[in-house]
Amino acid sequence: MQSTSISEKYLLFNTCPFLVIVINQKGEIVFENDFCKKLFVSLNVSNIQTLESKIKNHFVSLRAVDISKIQAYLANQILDPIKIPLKTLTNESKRLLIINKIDSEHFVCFVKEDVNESLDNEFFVDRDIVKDATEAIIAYTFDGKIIAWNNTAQKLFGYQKELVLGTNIKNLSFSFSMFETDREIIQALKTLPENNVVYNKKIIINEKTHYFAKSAKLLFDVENKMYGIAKTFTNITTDVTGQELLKKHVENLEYLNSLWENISQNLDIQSILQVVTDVTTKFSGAAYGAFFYNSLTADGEAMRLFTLSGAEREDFIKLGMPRNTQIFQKTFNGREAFILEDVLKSPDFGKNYPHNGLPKGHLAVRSYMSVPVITMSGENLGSLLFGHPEPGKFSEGHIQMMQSIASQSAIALENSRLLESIKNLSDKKDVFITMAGHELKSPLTIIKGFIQILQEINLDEDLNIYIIKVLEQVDRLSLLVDDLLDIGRIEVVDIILDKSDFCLSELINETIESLSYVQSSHNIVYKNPKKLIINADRRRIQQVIYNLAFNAVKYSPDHDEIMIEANVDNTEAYVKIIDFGFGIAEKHLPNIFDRFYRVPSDKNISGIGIGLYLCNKIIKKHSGSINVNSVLGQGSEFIFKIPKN
Amino acid sequence: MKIYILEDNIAIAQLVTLLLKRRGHDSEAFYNVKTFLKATNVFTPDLFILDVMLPDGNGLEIARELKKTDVFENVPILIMSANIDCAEESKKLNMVDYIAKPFDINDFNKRLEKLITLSRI
Repeated sequence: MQSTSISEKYLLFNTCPFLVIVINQKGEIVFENDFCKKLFVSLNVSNIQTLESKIKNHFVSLRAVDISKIQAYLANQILDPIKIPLKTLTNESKRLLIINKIDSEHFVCFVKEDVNESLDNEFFVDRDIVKDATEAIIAYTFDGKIIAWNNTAQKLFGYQKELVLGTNIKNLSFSFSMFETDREIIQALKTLPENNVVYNKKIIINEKTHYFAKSAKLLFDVENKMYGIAKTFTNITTDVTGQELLKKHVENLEYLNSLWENISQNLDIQSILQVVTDVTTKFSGAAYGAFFYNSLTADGEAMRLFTLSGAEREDFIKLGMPRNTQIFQKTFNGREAFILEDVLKSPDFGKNYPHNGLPKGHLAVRSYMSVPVITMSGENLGSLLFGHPEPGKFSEGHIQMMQSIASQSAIALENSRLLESIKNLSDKKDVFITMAGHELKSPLTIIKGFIQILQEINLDEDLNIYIIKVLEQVDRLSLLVDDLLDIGRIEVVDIILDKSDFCLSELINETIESLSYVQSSHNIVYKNPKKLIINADRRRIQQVIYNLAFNAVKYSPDHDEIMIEANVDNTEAYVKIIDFGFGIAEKHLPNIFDRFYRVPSDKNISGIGIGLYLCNKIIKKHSGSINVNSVLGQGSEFIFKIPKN
Repeated sequence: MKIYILEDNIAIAQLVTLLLKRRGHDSEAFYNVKTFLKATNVFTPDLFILDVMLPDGNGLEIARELKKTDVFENVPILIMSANIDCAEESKKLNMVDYIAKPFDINDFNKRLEKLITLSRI
């Protein structure tokens, strides 16, 4: 076997992006092109293989081929090529195995895909087996002499094969730089001569952009000297445009993601409107976008907010708000999205007096798209408007996407509205609480004052007991009113601390004493009755201790003891209040310091859920901390720490 | 001892009048700023007891204005209010004390005596 020389002779076949096998009369394979080698990497090339064994081992779809037919063909030295139909799974003959004599000793075998095209006899005579390939294949020597030029190349580059073969390729002109990368290709292939160099090329044909995968290979002569270059151009326009679409799609998804992230992090209406406008404008490919949002002022008057993208606010303001003119009517009253391919050609536009077209100074708009933003309940929240200075920029696809964004935005906007109305109500409620608190204090002042006078002048001991009971309840009521007032005040203004030096132990004892007026069920034990001087707001700290101890009593009705511990070191004071009552389930612990939060319970315990909230606020204001340890069924301990000074 | 009371709530004004009477002090109650100011123009009392939230003015503001004049500079004032925020502001002024509503009458008497003692020094 003179495999080296034979291989060299057929090297040009390596440029074919399809299978080519050369066999001798005995059916032994003498050459396989690179495509074939890649296809059967497991092949042991040192063994001589026959076409027959190859068919048997590797070509599953060729097994139905009648081998004897091939053998007969090879033996009979017929000049015409033999065409053997290949069966597919559906039994439709779509491919042909073609074997043709190529020189005195050898035959070339390849598979032709399309049977409908008539095979032409010239196909192999000029050795241009690449003639009918769907790839454009050309080859030229280093000095530019064209040695191969197939039909597809003819179509692609516009030069007829007959006219260019043998001429210098440098004399031809191409719509792209044909030779630009030759130097690099040669450089790259010198080190790895077996390889192909593949890169993408953008070629404009009839003003349409096509993308080709260009594959290049060096040609070697018998003495293994490079003499030329072969190039294959595979049209991958569909792949590339597909990839570009995919890339665009991914980008769009990223925009959408950022949109929802922004919206979920931000519940303020104006920011939602801006994000939605920015993203949809970018997304739709519009030059300008606007979001007109129907809203109500605090007094219930209709008001229209708007956000812009791609245009300066002044550009819009100088036009005034878009009025309910014929062209905008559909936008502002409509429930359907629509597109105007060209605003100037719309029957609703263009001829209107007095502008006869776009008003002076108007943003240049030809393409127009409008998408209503409608809530789940069917309320029209407003409209998204998009414009572009060139006509025909928007499609149905845009509308679908914009509609899906619009409906998502509607949900976010509804949530935001809800939040705003709740905030509004909450503010009003705080003002109400403050006013109500003040109004409650006047009658309390009168009741307390006159009862105390009564107490002073009374000499009847029995009556005095009743008077004390009334006074206790008046004081209790005063504390509740104080709590209520504090709630309102804390939300509206800040707590103002009135700090002074006092003894914590004394304060605790006082608090225990005042608690003894309102409860007699529990014995409150204070463990450390020594002098503990701290600097804090005495009244506030008393409020905290009172609230915590009173809670301890309320939530341990089946026990009769509450423990209080307190101490002061160089920097910090702490007070701990321990009960042996119901305890608090772990899942409720994070919420117990929230305003109006009450641990759900079947036990009927009075309260409005502000005690702990206030305690927390007061301790925080002192730059301290308040914590709770609790075991369900065993009791709770509340500990607060505040700086000593 | 003559004490002027400025309080728009008649029942509270009556309570304060009664408390003062029981301590042997003579007093006169005014229910709005206008009549109160009219009275201060012709007579200088020994002590003022002022409510803060009034229909035609603010007791704390009046206290500030009174303290600017030579005539009333050394007349003690007791501010009564449900609004604790007034406490600090009141205490900034010379010879002015503050009592929160609803008050304990013993506390009221204590503060009153303290102010009277101050005015006599």
